[in-house]
Amino acid sequence: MYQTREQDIIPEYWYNIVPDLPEQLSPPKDSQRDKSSIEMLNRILPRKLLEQEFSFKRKEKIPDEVMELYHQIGRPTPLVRAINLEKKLGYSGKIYFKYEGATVTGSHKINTALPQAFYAASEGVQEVVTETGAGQWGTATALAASLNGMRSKVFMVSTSFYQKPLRKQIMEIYGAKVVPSPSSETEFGRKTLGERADHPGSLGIAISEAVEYALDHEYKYMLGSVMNSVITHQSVIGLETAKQLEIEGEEADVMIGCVGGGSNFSGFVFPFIAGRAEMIASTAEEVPKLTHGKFGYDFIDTAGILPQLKMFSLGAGFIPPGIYAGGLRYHGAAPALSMLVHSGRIKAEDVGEDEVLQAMRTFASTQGIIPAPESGHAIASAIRYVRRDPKSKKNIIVNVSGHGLLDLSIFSRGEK
Amino acid sequence: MRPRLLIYLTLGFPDNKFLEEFVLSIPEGTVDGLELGLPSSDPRYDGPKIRSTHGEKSSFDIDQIGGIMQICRDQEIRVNILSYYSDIEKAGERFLQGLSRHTVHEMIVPDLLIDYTEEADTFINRMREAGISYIPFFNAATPDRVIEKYLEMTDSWIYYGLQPSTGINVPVNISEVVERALSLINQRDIIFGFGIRNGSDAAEIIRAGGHGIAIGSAIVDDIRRRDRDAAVYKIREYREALDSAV
Repeated sequence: MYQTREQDIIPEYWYNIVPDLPEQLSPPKDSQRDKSSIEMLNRILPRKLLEQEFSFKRKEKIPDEVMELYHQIGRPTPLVRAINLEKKLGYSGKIYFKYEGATVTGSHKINTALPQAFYAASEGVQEVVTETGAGQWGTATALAASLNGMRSKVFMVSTSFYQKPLRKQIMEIYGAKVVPSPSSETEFGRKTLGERADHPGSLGIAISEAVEYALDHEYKYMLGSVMNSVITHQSVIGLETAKQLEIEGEEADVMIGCVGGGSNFSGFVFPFIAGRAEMIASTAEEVPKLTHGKFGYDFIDTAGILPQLKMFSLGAGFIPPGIYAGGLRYHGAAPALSMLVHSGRIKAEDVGEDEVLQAMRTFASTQGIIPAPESGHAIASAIRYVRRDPKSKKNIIVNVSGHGLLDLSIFSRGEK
Repeated sequence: MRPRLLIYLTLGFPDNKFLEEFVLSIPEGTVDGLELGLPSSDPRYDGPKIRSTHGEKSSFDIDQIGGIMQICRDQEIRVNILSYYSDIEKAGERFLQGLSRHTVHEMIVPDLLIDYTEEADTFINRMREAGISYIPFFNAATPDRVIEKYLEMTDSWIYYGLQPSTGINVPVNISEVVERALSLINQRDIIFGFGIRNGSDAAEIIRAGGHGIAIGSAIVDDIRRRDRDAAVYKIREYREALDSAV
């Protein structure tokens, strides 16, 4: 493990890429002619978060209270040189991985859950609401809410709710109320269940339910990914990585991460955007939003309550297969990331299940860490990269966004 | 210099006869400029108030601007046109010729630098050849390099949006936004628009160093009711707030 004094590594500021993008981000777009869904965000998001969502500031100070919580939950996370993996692959260069699985909730999601919960609690909010797909985001929300003295409610995509009882249990231990989505607790959920009683759910549906529930109860909604403010918070990953590489005396030549909504990947690479590093976004073959999606305005949620964003999308109505990597099932990807993929600055590639499982096994048997299946895509892409040119001397930096200790069934049962 | 007050009106809303009468009723010295929006079927960067002033169809005869342009010339009110590039593209070559014919010298195209980056430079040159200045429209999401590029390509005043769309209100620190705009844009007048809710917002912009404001959504309901007096009253309030901030 990479060891140094942690206060040297956690940045004091988050980084917002908006003023450094090559082109202007298209603003969110209202869907209904007579209402502003952008203005509606005032009702469901803390004021400070909304300010960050539309901010031009490159640097956003991390509040002292959040910094203290970052220390408590395991930041800085380690940057580890994967020497065993290098040997196994016969690679002449170096492979490093940033291990976000080392946080107490087991993934990068806590990086934005903490500030969002802090901002909500600062406004006197009693309860926060959100959705979760694979369970990582719900887990982070549940803990962040408790740490800030609030209740939490999590709409969990139905397939995951039943397939991942341990995730649900963890959220409940942290203090959350967890319901399967579609649920009978919202109008949209009831409508969806009315159309199909055994509906497997999707992240888009769960987001719709969480937003509706927050609006009805005047609670605040927690944003799991996609939005600019979330990506700004997640920049803590890349900023730490930059500092750790600097201490190591190395530079990033290639950066690889997986993409669900795009927050771990964007947070990891955006602080390096001005440099020369090659950047590769790895997505699931079953949900090929960046390689086969359409770049244009689409809904964030299935019900269309939230504004539309210009992004790569497979369509808000896309019902993904119940794949092994639940965190990659979202139909769209963050607008800034989508723009940079569209412009060619960031490359995207899809990886299939067999290749991911093999990569996870290789990583576990060489580095001892069982990665989350989502992160397995990043590792698989890194292995692909190495195999194309094992004699290369390039430094490959991989973001391992979470651990996979609650996903072991995919190895033993081939569960999809 | 006295802060500038621009008012936004959508052509044909509620009808051109009323608009012409309304412009004539504005007390002299109150308003410095008219921003005349051309009807759009997809005014996507406008909030609900301004959207409601656009009809369902974007097709209209460019000569409809003739009457109001004549009145503004007589009243010595400077006019700039606001039109979406998605509509201009559909209208074709005759569009710029029509604007020139009616002595339009300035135009804002809010979607040009966002959704039509590949066509933008060529179109700005075409505008220049037609004798029309392109007024750059920037906001918080405009990257520094885009601002720098279009400052070099143009020599007009700048329109800067405070909010992501017109007439809405998400949390914005007005002083910080104005300071950021001023730090990137030198020697050019910057007019701030989008979501200036009241005189207090207007005064804050001027105190922070802004050169003027544009209002639109604030008077839409009055215009819809054809209540000239109410709209003029509000315009006077903004004028007073601007003047008091100097």
